[in-house]
Amino acid sequence: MVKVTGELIVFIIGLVIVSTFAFMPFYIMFISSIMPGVYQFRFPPPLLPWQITHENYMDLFNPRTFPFTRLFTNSILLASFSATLSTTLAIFGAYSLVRLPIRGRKVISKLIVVCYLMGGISIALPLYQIILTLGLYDTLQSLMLTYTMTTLPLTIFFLANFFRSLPIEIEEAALIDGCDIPAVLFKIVVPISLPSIVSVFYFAFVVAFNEYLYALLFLNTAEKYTLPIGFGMLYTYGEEFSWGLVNAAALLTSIPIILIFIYLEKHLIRGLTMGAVRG
Amino acid sequence: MSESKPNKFSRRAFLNYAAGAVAGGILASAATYYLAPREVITKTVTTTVGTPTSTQEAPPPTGKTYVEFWTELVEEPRMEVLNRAAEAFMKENPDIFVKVVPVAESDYPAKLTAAYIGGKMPQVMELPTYFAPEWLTELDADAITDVINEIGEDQFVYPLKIWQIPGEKKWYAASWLPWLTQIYYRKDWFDEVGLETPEDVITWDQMLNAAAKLNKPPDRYGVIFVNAKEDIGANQIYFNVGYANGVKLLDEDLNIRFDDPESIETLEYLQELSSYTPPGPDDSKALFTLYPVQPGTIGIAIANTYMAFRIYNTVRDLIPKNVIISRIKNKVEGMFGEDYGLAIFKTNSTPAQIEASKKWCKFLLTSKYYAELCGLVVFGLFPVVKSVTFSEEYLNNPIVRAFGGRKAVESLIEGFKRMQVPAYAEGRGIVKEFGPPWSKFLIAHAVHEVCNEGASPKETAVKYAERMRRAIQEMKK
Amino acid sequence: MSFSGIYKTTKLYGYLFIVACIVSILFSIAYPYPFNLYVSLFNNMLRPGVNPAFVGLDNYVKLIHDTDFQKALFSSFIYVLTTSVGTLIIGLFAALLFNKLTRGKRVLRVLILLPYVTPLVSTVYVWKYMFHPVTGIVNYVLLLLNLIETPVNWTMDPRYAFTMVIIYEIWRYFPFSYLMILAALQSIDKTLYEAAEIDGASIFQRFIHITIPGIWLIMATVLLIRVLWNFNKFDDIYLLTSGVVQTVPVYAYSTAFRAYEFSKGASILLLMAAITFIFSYIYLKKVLKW
Repeated sequence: MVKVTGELIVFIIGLVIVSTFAFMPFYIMFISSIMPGVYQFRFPPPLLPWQITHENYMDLFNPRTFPFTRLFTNSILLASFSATLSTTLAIFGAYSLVRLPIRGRKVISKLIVVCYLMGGISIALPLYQIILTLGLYDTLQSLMLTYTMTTLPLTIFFLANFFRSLPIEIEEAALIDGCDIPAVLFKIVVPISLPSIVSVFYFAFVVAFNEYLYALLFLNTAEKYTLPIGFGMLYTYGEEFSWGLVNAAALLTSIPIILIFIYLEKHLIRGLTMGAVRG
Repeated sequence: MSESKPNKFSRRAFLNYAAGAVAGGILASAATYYLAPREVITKTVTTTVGTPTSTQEAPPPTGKTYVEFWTELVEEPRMEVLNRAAEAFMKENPDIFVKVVPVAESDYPAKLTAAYIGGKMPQVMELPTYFAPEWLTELDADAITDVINEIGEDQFVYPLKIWQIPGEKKWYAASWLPWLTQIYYRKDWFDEVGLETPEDVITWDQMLNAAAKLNKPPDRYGVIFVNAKEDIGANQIYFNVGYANGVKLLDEDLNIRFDDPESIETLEYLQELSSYTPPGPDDSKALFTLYPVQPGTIGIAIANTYMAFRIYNTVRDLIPKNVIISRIKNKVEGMFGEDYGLAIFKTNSTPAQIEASKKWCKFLLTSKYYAELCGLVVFGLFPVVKSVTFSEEYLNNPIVRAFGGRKAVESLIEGFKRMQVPAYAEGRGIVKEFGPPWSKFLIAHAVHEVCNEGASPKETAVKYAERMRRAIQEMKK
Repeated sequence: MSFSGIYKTTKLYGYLFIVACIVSILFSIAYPYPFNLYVSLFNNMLRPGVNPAFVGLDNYVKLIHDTDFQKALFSSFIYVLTTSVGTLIIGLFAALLFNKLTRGKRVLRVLILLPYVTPLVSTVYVWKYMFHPVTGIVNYVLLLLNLIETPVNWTMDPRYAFTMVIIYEIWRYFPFSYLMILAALQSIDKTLYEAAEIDGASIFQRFIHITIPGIWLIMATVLLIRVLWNFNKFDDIYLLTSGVVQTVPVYAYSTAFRAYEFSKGASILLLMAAITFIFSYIYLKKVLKW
């Protein structure tokens, strides 16, 4: 059926190498999470579990050991809201940047790219001051605002690129037919750009979900802490430290995100790569 | 385009169900968390707490005095005890609101600095001596001195030297959760090779001798201690053994004494010891892993009071074969430790808040929650107020009893009496100059070079002493 | 292309819509940078109990002579170079390999994208677990294969920690370049290949003359994105090694938050921004010909 050629062999070897490289850590995560604590430190490290237990997962959901559900809900809600906000604002911003005649449009475009280059640790302290002045210290809203603002440059840039590549005739036709700008935006442009919008949303979501430094600085109540901070604390558990627990938490955190990714994958890939191909 | 097979689920439908299941699972577990009564299980004690009423979630009610308390005990069981303590305290003092904020110790600098800039400093904080020097000007020493006096200076199990402002009867902070270096060794192996087995004090020679005799690589190594380059344990190990030789980082005139003869001798000693350690640099996690969890590998561990609890929880049958020593001696006797003291910040606190903070500190130091907290991590968290240390609750703790009960506690207290910290300069108290050598890990680098790169102790000492002096000068500019 | 001149009201909508952009610009640039600049012109700024002293550009001058900073700069340089090139090469390799795949394409794509998509926190800790000097599987395998003699201290020894971080970055980000390159590969006209084959060109020649020009632009773009991203990367490196590996952002963080030298930290951050800016400007002009 399939001819066994040299090409096929090279391909299979390549396939095995690449997929092992990509997947190995996940396998290890899984193995470690189903082993009891004592076995985590045995040498040689296991490729197959010595003994299977579900105690790590039980511990994870036991709020006595680690408030996983609370941290996870905080992170997911925060990420969803910031991503939604960022995407919505980006749709408006990118569209107006591309289609509507505004003075200084080119300058703003370039500035937006520059904005994206900055960020992270450089603006941590000034941002902290801004948040304090706004009275948002120790709230999840402060993080939502920050994530929106820091992802906005890229989301706008990305969507702007995409909108620019849409033929203007369709929109012009709609305008002539009597629609006003918002209608054009929502009824015509958005449905066409769904893949890009989805990928932009996903990107903003992932940034907000993963973020550590701002969450650390802006939050002061244990109940509001997000997942990255929780992980940091889990890792510094001096004595009750268990790799099994950490890996179980890691796995549980990844699975929903990966599922969301698989769900959106088709749109996502199209959105990401469309910009690439058009250069 | 889609790979749907006839009569079977399409991939999309499957994923829909999967997503729904995951979401459902998360909601279900969240529901169980919020609604069900929580069962509180520690590894030693089981109690049941009713429906959770989180006092920490609501915004501080107006009209009450607000006390923000930062703790580095981020582990859930410990947080739980602190939260309950706060609730009990607030019941007794309805006009005060205490908020317990967990901050991982490694995040202390970032968060406190940001708080300082933003004017959001906490009222009370667990302050370790290595972190304190930078913040001395922000502490309200009078307030905490009042607390100590109210409890009674003689009510502390050891003389409160470390936090004392030199020349005055005032302190920067009250000792709250100290830990101490401890030597753990395998008595059964010592007996095997005919070594003497000290009970209270161990000397440099005894340790070196034992390490050499017990060392049979690759199955067994003589000793383990932290010597990895950027691990704070490597900063500490120098003092762990060095204080028994009379080293000091800074003298009365705040000069660096890292290149003194005693210091060089210490580095030499560490270099010799390191030939009996497992290969490669060792970090704190290795220290706490290899000795207890893989018994059969290491003969002596230069560790600290946190090891006891770990042994109890992982390899309980090691306890009878193990001896803990809290005193080291060479030329003199001296022990390294760290004290997480309760400190009151005056930066963003009104007088009313400071009064409230004093009450909170006194409560922490004298209530039964102190015993309960220390009971979670026996010997790692040690109560320093006599009424708590010798209370029924603490002495009857299973872990305390497993290690020898009252006798073990008293032996540990003897060790604490000889405790020193590098931040403390004789005659000067806690000083800032200790900061640069410590935070730049210069001591750790020296230890690392001597132990893992075979550098000459004398040259290394001189080299790093110079760097320390330069670092201090730069700080002063 | 825009709707200029057709409707006057569009201008109003335009200005309204643009507000979000302006605000984010303010957030990211207008306040933070002058603030950093201001702080860097002083000494001992933001330190409790110490009075700041104006020193002008002295901090920058000292920075250039600071050996730790030079080491950090060098580390950053090596880091950015190896990870960008590494992700590019492995991505290219994977893309070429799987270009012709028709069945199971989606499954493979999901599999390969796993490292990129998984939350950062999850991957960091399992990485530390795998590379643990004593109980990690990496050392075990290396010892088994006799590639090393004594266990390597991946997490504590700066040299090896650096390698560990580089491997992590390549692992995490090669899917991104894989995706981009694959897309570009698949948009190359298949008929070109057929024509070349008919003309007698070898696989190698086909690769050089058809494939490379087709994906060159994408590869250059990916390279730029990776370089910029990696240079500024803080979370990954800090979470993995807690300060053992000192690239410029980690050094800035240590200086500012661990040694309380904010002024110095601020000047490092500004210098970083300047380098990023200059690099991207040159790169965009020369390589991508914007």
